[in-house]
Amino acid sequence: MSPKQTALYNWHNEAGARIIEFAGFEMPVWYTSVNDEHRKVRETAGAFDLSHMGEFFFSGPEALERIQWLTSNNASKLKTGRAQYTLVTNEKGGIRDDVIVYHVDDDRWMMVVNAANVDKIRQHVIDRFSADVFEDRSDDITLVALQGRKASEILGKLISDDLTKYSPFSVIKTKFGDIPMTVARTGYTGEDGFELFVENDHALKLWEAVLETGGDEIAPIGLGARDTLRLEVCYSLYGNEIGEDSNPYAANLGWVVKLKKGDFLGRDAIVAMKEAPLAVKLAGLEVEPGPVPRHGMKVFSNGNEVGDVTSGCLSPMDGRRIALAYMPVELTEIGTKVQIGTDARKSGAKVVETPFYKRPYEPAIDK
Amino acid sequence: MDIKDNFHYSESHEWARLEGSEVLIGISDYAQEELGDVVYVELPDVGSKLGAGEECGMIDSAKTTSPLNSPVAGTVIRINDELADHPELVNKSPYDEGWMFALEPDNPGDIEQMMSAADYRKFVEESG
Repeated sequence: MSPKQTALYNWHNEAGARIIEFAGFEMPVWYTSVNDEHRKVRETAGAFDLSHMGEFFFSGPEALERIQWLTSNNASKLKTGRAQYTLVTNEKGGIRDDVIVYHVDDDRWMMVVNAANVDKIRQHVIDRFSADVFEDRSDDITLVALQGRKASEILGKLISDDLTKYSPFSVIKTKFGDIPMTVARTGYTGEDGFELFVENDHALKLWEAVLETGGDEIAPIGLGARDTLRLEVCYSLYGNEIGEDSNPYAANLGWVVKLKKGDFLGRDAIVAMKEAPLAVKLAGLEVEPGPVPRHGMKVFSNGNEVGDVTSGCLSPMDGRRIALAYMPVELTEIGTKVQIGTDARKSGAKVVETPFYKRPYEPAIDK
Repeated sequence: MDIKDNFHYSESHEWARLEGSEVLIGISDYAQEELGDVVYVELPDVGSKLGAGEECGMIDSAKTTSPLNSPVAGTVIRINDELADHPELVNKSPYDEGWMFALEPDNPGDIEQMMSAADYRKFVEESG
């Protein structure tokens, strides 16, 4: 099957982006440089085309109940206009996907799923309910993420809403000119920022307006920097830190598992996971100068293989070699020394505080 | 994409050129564009003996790790120490300041076995 393209593909291509195939889409991995784009988002702002991600809508009086069965967090806490990060669980308490659920209207909910999991989650829902309980609008909707400390200033020039009234995880139904747009104060970079949802017909107009309005303070950002940005703030990447066999507690995602909310898929298995002592968990490592840590490397202690590196990079902000790894819990104390690498080639590493980066400001919100 | 005349090229995108009795080696402009931001380069030890095509180092970019190969056989006589602190030279100046290591070749004629600039241009266009 030939790869799909988002509504902004031609723009990316004409801008000279390096395009790779990711999750069945031809996507920009960088426009100029991963490191420069990363810093741009941290310093001012960046715009991401994330239209490869999936948008599922659940409507009607039973929508909430279905979302509650499918996910681990407590969606009943979400008033209209609020969103939450949550996990789609499987029968054995593992993670079928990590998603954001948005309460967009009184009886209408949107679930944004990872691009690589769109088909899997669609089938997951159909198998448990039926095809007519939800709409998969993934191919119709453009998602533009506007991220960075200047994001609210830039977006404020494009819509009439007073953004200081909307805290993180707010959802607003608004208009960009005449174009209906859903705006959420969400993102995956560790910065203040927004995700903007419009119909594909309006993608180019929105994208160009965001970039033009931001001027020198914004740049288009590819998937390469999206990965390093999320890694610096230790957000999980599906397929790296989490997957069907993951224990949410070992992945440091116990905070999105709400056992008291009632039953949900895999809950019994997750209760058992919570009661059992953890053997391994995800920890942050700083690696000594040498090869850059990568997904797939092993963790060694006293010469024995004890764990797995799930993600790694050279931090574009401070030049440290940073990694996330599953390691025996007794080795995850801050300062513990281990090695990472391959059988043939190992580098020294030590457990450090996470996240690796914290934004040095608070979003401008009237509290 | 800049492909320098008078340089010789390997299928794994190293370049080599004869300078006096030594062979200087680096990676092509095409290779550095494919890799993106180079953040770390590991070079062979001075004095090590390398076979033609032998893996002798690694190049880490922001996204990925790639092997560095020696396109001809010989003994490493110098390495570019500047790359330790300035790996970005590989992106900025792949044919000059971003050179990687120098060999004393076992057979100075081996370099002629590599692709010419014209052949390499064709190779890249066909593989791209």
